Amino acid sequence: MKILLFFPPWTRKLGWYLLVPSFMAGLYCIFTDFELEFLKLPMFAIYQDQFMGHTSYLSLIEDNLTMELIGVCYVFGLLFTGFSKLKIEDEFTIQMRYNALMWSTLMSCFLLLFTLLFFYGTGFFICMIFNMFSIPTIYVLRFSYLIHRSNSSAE
Amino acid sequence: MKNQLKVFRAIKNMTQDELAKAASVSRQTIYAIESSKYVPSTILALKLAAIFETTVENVFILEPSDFSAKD
Repeated sequence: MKILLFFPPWTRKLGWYLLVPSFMAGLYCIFTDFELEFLKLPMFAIYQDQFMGHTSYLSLIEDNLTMELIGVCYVFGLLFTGFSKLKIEDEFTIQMRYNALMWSTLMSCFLLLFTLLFFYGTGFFICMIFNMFSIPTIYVLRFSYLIHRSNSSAE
Repeated sequence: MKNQLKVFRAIKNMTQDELAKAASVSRQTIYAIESSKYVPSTILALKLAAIFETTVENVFILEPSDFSAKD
């Protein structure tokens, strides 16, 4: 059985170097509203909806890209850690990948239900931002745990 | 399903690592099969049997519980 998309094995380490700092930076920026001033740049927006303002389509807007930059680093971190080829990629590791994917989808559904039922107002939107990343994040964590468990039990 | 992987490995005087290399899988996979944590695919089962120069039925043995519905 073949999985189509795999990055080379060395990208796994790079993935962790991107993932952990961007996760911490993301949390810090969300809870402190920290933004890097020099990242206030004009950007092309397909859709922009300003609070109490007008809606614009396909326009140039000025925005601070701190969160966007952190988000991009985090997504690449997830892709590299979750979809990089292991040194030996065989049917057992593919089964672990499926297990992790199943787990992450289920957990994400539970998180979604929990958020829908118990979070309201702006708290709901903040939780939904976290939920956007929940499937790949839980997948990476579960897959890494399964690899670690398999390695340590085989020793 | 039981398996005789360990027995055949001992007969052939092979380590888990050597068997893994011969079957193009990781050592963790061999360990998982030996400890019945993982049931290999048909291709891998046939490959392992071929390495031990025997049939799949000799390496992997069905148990009565395998015939009843699980969970």
